Amino acid sequence: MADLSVKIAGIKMKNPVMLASGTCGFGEEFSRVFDLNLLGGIIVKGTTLKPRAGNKPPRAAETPYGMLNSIGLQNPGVEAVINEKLPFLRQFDLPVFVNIAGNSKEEYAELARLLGKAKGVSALEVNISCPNVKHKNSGLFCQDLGDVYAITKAVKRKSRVPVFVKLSAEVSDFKETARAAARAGADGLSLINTLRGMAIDIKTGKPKLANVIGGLSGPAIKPVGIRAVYEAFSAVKIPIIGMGGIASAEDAVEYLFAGASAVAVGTASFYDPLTPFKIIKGLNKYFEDNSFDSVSVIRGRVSL
Amino acid sequence: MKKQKFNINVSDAVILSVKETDGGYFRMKLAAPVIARTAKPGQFISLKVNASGMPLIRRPMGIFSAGKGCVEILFKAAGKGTEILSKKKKGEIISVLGPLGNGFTVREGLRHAVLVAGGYGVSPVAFLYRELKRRKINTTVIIGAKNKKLLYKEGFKSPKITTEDGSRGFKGLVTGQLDKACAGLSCGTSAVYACGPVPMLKAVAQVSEKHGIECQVSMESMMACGIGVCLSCVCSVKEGMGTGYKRICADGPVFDSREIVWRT
Ligand SMILES: Cc1cc2nc3c(=O)[nH]c(=O)nc-3n(C[C@H](O)[C@H](O)[C@H](O)COP(=O)(O)OP(=O)(O)OC[C@H]3O[C@@H](n4cnc5c(N)ncnc54)[C@H](O)[C@@H]3O)c2cc1C
Ligand SMILES: Cc1cc2nc3c(=O)[nH]c(=O)nc-3n(C[C@H](O)[C@H](O)[C@H](O)COP(=O)(O)O)c2cc1C
Ligand code: FES
Repeated sequence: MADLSVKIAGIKMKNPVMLASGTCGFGEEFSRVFDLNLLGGIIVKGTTLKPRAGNKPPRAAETPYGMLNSIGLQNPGVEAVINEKLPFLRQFDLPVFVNIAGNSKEEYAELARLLGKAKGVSALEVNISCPNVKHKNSGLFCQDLGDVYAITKAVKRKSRVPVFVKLSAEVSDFKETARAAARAGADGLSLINTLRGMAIDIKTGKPKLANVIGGLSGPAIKPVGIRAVYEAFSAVKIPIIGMGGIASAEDAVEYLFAGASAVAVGTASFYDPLTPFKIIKGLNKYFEDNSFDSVSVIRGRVSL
Repeated sequence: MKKQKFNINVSDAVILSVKETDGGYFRMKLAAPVIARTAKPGQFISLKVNASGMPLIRRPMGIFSAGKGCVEILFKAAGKGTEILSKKKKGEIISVLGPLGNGFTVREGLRHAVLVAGGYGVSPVAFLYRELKRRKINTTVIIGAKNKKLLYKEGFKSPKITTEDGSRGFKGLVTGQLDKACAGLSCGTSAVYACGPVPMLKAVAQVSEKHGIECQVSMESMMACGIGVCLSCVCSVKEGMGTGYKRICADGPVFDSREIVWRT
């Protein structure tokens, strides 16, 4: 067996394969399908200060090689996450990243403070790129460099665990965005969140999502994710968790070449819940076949 | 750590048969021993109709029968995925995820059940019907269809048939027959079980509630994951003084009708 272990921002993981936020709940459901202990890590559902009911259904639509979702950050709120969800995950030997979302930098900071005190949190993933909640100007926080810096800084100040900032590729200058997060002290980046898209039912003329616009995920967005990781890798020194359309070990290797230190699987585990394990197995084979003795051998080594 | 319980199975199943049946439905039999062992009426499975490529997302299917290592489904070739499914051949392999969701609840002391099925809702209802027969519970079956060409009634003993155009059985909707069936029943020991299109479920719930009879409805929605992680399949439910959302795949698909907030 190849040594697939990685250490990102000081967090040790058995392998670089994680589950992406919003695609694995808080681990309970997948624990009925497979052994969570085999994973590199888990990034749990976006957590907000107060419980959120989420958007009106229909919330999902299938699209070519992908899907749109407009869940709207349905979650039980940070208190329930700490008291009811994290204890379950503490049973496993598994780094837990808690994804947080707020409406202001104060909310992000408060979430960081509360979760920093909680047991069983390895890191925070700061979602400033959710397409399904409304902000000022109806844009994404990460589209404003000032917000990227201010929110990251506010979270860093309160957090006792490493902070990963999750960005969207829908920004005008990706490298500048990554640099803003790094300058504010981010310990790592998570790239990418979904891309905003829309689908219309031609029988009714109505949008397929009640929310009209949703986030596109799945294999369709992989090239965008690869590009984002590649650009960020050249711009900043902090580790990157790559995601977006990863469905196979080959996809994961591609992200590593682009510059990712770890990868997260999202949509693919909806249609094949065993995807993360197939990837771990495939990575083992790839590293053995090529006699690479660690993940860092290929990280960012795309040859131009 | 607690012993882990893996009770949702994902496996490659061999297709044992695909048959076109009454009403333009297809019946597919799969070798899925792990699922067959525990599946209960009202639960469902989810199929990846193409191993790779489109359609990407699995298709949920009610369980028509389960036992002896096999699971059967009943479906219409209604769109991209089910079209492909209908053309599968014996011996082909298909990835099956299940059993999913919570099935129908048959309370201790239940004496009389009224089953109402519309469209492919007849599939889980047939599974429940056999279970109720086995438990010797009095059962009335009402099946609704647009017309006789779309009717599936195999395996039910003297079901009450209703068609919208009157081409078979009673003309009209299932609710007329349901109203009659409920009339003589005592509410404490009876229950209505329904699966079909949402407008039918809503009407069935109203009739049952009028008679004070418990009604369990099997809901449906587009499902991305089928196991409860994506939160895409929610329906509105009453929660305390207000309303909230529940996942149809994991908290349902069967709900007590009084819990549902029907969207008009
Ligand atoms: C719990 C549950 C049990 C079901 N049981 C059966 C059954 O026993 N027999 C049967 O014939 N059908 C059943 N269905 C419906 C079946 O899954 C859909 O009809 C099927 O997915 C349509 O797929 P398609 O690719 O043929 O059609 P598409 O071309 O994808 O679309 C046709 C229609 O089906 C809807 N649809 C598409 N994907 C899904 C999805 N993943 N879930 C729900 N609706 C969808 C679309 O909104 C559209 O209106 C069930 C659905 C659910 C949620
Ligand atoms: C149904 C769904 C819900 C999601 N919820 C969240 C969320 O709560 N927070 C977040 O940061 N990202 C969320 N995401 C984005 C994913 O974490 C991931 O960044 C994106 O889907 C790309 O990866 P994929 O193509 O492998 O799915 C969600 C994605 C999906 C499909
Ligand atoms: S389909 Fe994903 S939660 Fe129900």
